[in-house]
Amino acid sequence: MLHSDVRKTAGLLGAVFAAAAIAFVFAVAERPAVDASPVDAAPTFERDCARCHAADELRATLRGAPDRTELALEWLERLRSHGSSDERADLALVKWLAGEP
Amino acid sequence: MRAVLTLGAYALLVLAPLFAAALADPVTGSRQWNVELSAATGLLAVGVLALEFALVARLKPVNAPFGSDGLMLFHREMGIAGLVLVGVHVATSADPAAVLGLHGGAALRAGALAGAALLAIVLLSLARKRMQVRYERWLLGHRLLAAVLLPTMLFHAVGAGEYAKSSAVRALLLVHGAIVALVALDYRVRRPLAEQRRPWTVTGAHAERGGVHCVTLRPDGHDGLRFAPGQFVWLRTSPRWWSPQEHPISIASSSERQEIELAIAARGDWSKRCAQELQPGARVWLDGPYGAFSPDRVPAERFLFIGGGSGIAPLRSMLLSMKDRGDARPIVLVHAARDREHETFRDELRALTEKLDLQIVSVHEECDRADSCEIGRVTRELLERHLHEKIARTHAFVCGPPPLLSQMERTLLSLGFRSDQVHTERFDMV
Repeated sequence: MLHSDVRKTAGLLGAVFAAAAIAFVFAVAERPAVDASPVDAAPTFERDCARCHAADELRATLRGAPDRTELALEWLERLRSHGSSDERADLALVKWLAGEP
Repeated sequence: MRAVLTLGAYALLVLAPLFAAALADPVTGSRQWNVELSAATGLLAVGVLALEFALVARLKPVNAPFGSDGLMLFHREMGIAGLVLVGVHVATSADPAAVLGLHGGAALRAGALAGAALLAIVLLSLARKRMQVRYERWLLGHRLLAAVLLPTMLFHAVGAGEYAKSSAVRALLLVHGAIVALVALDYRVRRPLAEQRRPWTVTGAHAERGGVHCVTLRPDGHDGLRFAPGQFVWLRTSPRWWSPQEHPISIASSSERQEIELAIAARGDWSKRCAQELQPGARVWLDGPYGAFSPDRVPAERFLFIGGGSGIAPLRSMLLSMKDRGDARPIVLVHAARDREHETFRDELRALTEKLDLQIVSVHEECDRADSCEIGRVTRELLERHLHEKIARTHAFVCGPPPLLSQMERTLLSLGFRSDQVHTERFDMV
């Protein structure tokens, strides 16, 4: 391969990589950032659940269950089909009720 | 076609982590454009720099479409591109001081070390000839710095990159790491060990015109190697398989014979020592053949060979192979040398005019009256006078010092040769 052709090829690839980097910036900058801020479970429970459920009762049931993990997963599944679409909030609620940090 | 596919695979491997990052998108928090550009250039730099090693690790499928000297130049150009990407990565990062290793964790410090190693590699390579650093010393430094660069770069990319939190991106970065490790194992261990089991014995040695030392080698307990005329081998004279002392040497003999002849231009320290040491009975080891500089690869009806100084060696291999094969295609050989005494293989090549459809044009800087030669340098006007009319079916093979090659590339293209009809091989590959 002629050296002039090698230089042209390297230049072309450099341009492709530069264009890819710029396209990447535009592609990701347009999307909203994933919200990773912690969910405060207590006010969420107060707002969404307290009308029908008592937190202390649920806590006692969950913490007194022989298989706590299985019950927590069951509740998590129930919460998912309970009209809430925020999985992070569901998980935070179950953890809060189970007394996990 | 093979070249396009290889380049496509190369581009895809470099771009893959960036594509994966765009799709996986594990980044949390606010997105500043400069930080995203830093991430993008960082991911691209990892791909470019990890594959640098594969370009020069003598992988035959990679070598075949481009030729070794073309790949070496591509390696050099992409190394500079990698440095530019790293520069943009540092300059646009959220905290350039952290990227420079002034504070931050182990992954950031690893990145700073990788950046420093890369800068040193590029600067030393660009300045090697100007600083007159010996090739062996430079190569050792180049390899040591690369051995620092590659693991620290990958550690930095996996440990410090926000996008590396995505398992797809991490997996692709590890693929780059695995490519480097496998290629290194093949290049530095498997092949030298295989080569060690296939020694060659020097059966003849003589000095040629133009300071060329010609050695004849016979395979020692194995069936030798099959090569195409015009190819070269890496010659190792040390019995230590791990020795970094290897040099590319043109094969000057016919591809139709089992014994091979190497033409060593006794110019540098190593080649001068070689000329003394490589006497009958000595043992050497060869890695090869390599190179895409061969008439066997092209559908030519006629040839123009241009050789400068000892660059005649691969052209001699082509001519002797054509003689042994009974190839009747017409050839014009333009042989440039300082004077008659520097015209390597002069008498032997002239004798070939009786066996081949060969016309030899000797071009000397200083010309005796008794010599039938052109005076001066190889110019467009000189080529026009001696060229066959049918340029469209002619393939040109040019080998010699870099100034001659650069000039001939331009001249032949201006004469109407297409770039796929012009084939070059440079001496200063390393």
